[in-house]
Amino acid sequence: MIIYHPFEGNISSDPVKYAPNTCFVMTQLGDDLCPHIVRIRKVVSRILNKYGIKEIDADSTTTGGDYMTKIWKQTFASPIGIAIISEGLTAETIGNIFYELGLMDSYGKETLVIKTPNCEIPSDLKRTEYIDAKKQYSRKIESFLHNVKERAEYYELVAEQIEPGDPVQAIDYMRRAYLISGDTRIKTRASDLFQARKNEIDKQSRFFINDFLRK
Amino acid sequence: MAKKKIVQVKNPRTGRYVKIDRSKGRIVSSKKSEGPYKGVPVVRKSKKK
Repeated sequence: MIIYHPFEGNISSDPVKYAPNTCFVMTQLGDDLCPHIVRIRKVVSRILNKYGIKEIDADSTTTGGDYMTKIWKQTFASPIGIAIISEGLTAETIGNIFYELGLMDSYGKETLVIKTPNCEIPSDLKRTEYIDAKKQYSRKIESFLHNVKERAEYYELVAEQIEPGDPVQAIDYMRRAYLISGDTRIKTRASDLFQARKNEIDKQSRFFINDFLRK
Repeated sequence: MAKKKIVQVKNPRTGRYVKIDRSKGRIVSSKKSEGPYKGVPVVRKSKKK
């Protein structure tokens, strides 16, 4: 797999530090927050905590480096992304949120949009899963997270099936399963497969796989 | 018994079955309608690990 740095345009050679069992929350940050966002975020935090998923956002870590590069790495590190939007947000803020959501979709992450009922979704995102923040929406968030857990099992199952024909893709499905579940058994299995089939794996894929298998 | 070359798995994201060619290591098709492909074995996660 080749990953391009979205702002430098070169093939990325930076190591990725994965964050299993985390959810990257994309929404308005800072002071003077929209009341809808505050309310929805509280619900999301409560449910993520219930499911044992650590919540992170663009302000969670301080790297001292480029802010956008930090966000890009966070979108790549987390298995789940939840965007929270409301009609009270500026077009600039919503643009930033959808950019991050697009990055996560392209990296095969599990994404969800939670929006206030009056907030319109752009047509390009009509097929992205979304929830209106109205009566009993917390149940729908829980249903999404439950489905994400099932996806981890699916990724692991697909990995088992494709392993004979393509160890690189199998390891990548294992990576996605591991990121959701945090189950080190999957990582050990990926490591064993990597060692056994190393000769069939190209240099760029080895680089990418080593990031995943690094302790 | 030898494992089948082509199997199918249900994708929980779409609720649809995908057909996998084990020897090629590829998902070769996704079913457009509900239900499994006819004549293709369905694989499920084994309980024992």
